[in-house]
Amino acid sequence: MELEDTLFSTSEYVQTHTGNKVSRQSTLCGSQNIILNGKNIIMGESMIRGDLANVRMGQYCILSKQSVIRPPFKKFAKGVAFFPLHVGDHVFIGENTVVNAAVVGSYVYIGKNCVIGRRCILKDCCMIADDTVLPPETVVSPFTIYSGSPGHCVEELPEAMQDLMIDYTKSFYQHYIPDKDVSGVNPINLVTRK
Amino acid sequence: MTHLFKSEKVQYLCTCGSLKPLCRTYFCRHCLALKCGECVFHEVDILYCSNCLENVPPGEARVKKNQCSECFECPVCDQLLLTRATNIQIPSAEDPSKLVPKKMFYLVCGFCRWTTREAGLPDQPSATGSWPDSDNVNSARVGALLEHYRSLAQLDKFEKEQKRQLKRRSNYLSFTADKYSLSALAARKRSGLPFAGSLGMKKETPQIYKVEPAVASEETDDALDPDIFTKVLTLSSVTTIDQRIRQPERQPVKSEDLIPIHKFLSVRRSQRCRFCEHNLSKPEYNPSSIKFKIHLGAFYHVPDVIIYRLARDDMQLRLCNRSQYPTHVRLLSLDQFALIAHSKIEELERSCGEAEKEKKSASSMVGHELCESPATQAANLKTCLRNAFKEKVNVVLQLPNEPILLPARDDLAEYELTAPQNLKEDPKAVLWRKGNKVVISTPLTVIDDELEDKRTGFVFEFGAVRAGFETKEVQPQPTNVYIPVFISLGKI
Repeated sequence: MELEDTLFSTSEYVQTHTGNKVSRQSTLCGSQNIILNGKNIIMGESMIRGDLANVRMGQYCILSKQSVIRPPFKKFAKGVAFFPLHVGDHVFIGENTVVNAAVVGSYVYIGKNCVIGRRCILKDCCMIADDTVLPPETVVSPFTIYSGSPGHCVEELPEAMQDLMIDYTKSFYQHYIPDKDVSGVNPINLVTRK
Repeated sequence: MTHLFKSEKVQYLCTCGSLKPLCRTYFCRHCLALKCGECVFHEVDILYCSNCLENVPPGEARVKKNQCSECFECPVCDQLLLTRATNIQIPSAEDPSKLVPKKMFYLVCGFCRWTTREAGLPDQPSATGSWPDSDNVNSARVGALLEHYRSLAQLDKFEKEQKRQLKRRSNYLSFTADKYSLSALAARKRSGLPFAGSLGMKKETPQIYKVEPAVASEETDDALDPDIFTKVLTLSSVTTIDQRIRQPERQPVKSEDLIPIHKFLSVRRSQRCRFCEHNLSKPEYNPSSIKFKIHLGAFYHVPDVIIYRLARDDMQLRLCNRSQYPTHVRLLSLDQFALIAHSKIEELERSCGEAEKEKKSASSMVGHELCESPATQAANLKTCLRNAFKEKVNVVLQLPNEPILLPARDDLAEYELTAPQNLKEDPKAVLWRKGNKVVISTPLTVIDDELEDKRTGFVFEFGAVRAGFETKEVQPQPTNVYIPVFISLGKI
């Protein structure tokens, strides 16, 4: 089924020239340390903790409502140190999720109500099902689905995961449109009018 | 969002008769047929540790009992154990009266906080590789049994080989004796001499490794502890069944007897077509790579269809071609498909009869010859037709009559906003197109209102080029492929 249009109010969202759609209701701490590579959606009440360390996100990343992206720390003999967090391209992060990973690869789907523990490594093309808790320093290998608390590998993903995620995030982005000019932004509608 | 991967709405009919979403099927480009995970050979391609992502060769994996030597799992909750370092004070080697700090390591579970100290294991001086392995009390017996069965297998193989040799020899003899009345070999046999050839080939019969048969005894040594009846049981001190069977050789009862378990290796598989034995999917050697050496997923070769809009009397379908070749797609109703299939089968069977005249039986054909033979194609069509009519359908679609051009996949096409070339298409059937995607209108009619859940089906007809033809100079002629698709519409 094709995704339905999701409308957002133009007054709530800031749209950058690279195509990022960032809600004013989101909390971006240390915004000078946050890099969004374009076409990202940051929804309301979500949080990116750039004040702890650098956060870099690729293209077509979707951060849903009330989720937190938070760079991980490591304890040393003298205090703690925070490490930068990299998120790849075409990553979907569901609602109410806390991501404390060191690396999130590309084409990753993270469901809602998840906790991704400290310094986890999520490789490319993997999926974390809804309500999963990953303990610290877990490595999720490609083409696996992790589920449960504590998270276990329960299933394998199809080989076409890369294109499925590209299609999903792109169509999510194209259907996430401001409420005022419904036909103006969506390229699909442009073609229809002709 | 599981619907993205477990789409039950649009399902494709596999050659084996089961219905699968497109991303879970393969398209064999030699047989030109859809294959699902249940009707292909699965082979273990790569063994790797899912934590350190290190590749382990199969031989080494067998020696290590399919376990990673570096990574450990928590015996309580099955999660990865983390290495922690502590500083302890030990007497210096030079001057025993002085204390010097030394780093020691122990393992801790990040989820349930279990540590190796709870198991009574002393801290280790190095981070990896120094943890003691539990020794299995039955290892000697298991080893002897393995040896015994290995020798049995060898004997079996030897006997089979001997039988085959004898058979071949006798055949050869009768053949030569028939044709040339008397050969040198037969003459030797008659005179009672052994075969010249068999003198050097004579092998010794393998010896069977003898083992003591197991003896059943009345008494078992795992008698129940008498304390269990008198003392209050603290559940946290006893292991669960899961925890016990995770360590089958020890099966500890008390939780203090749990020891770290080596992490088991994971596997990435390659798939092979059962009919023509060509590879359908083969991952790259590196376990963290998401690329494939061979990838014949149906997702990339068969047009994809999704429901674009759905109303009571109208449905819009979006077709998408992800292959690198443009293709013409025709949507056939099941009845149309039956007509076409019957005439095709007749035609194929006629050419099948001609092929038989040339004395080319199926058994003598190999590889692509077998895939392309009219007999195979006719048989495939027949099963496809039979399976397609097994499915129940209660909604009929009004499908476009003309074939629809689906352009090849082009990743740059999304940046072009204009509709491409002027195609002579019925604007009522083809609503719009963009790149390799086309949205078509298929008005629907409910024919059977009994069931609430509505279901419809049609057959894709599209041209596909057989593998191995691309390199030839002659433009390859695409063969028509028929794939039935069934769509669950739910309540409408």
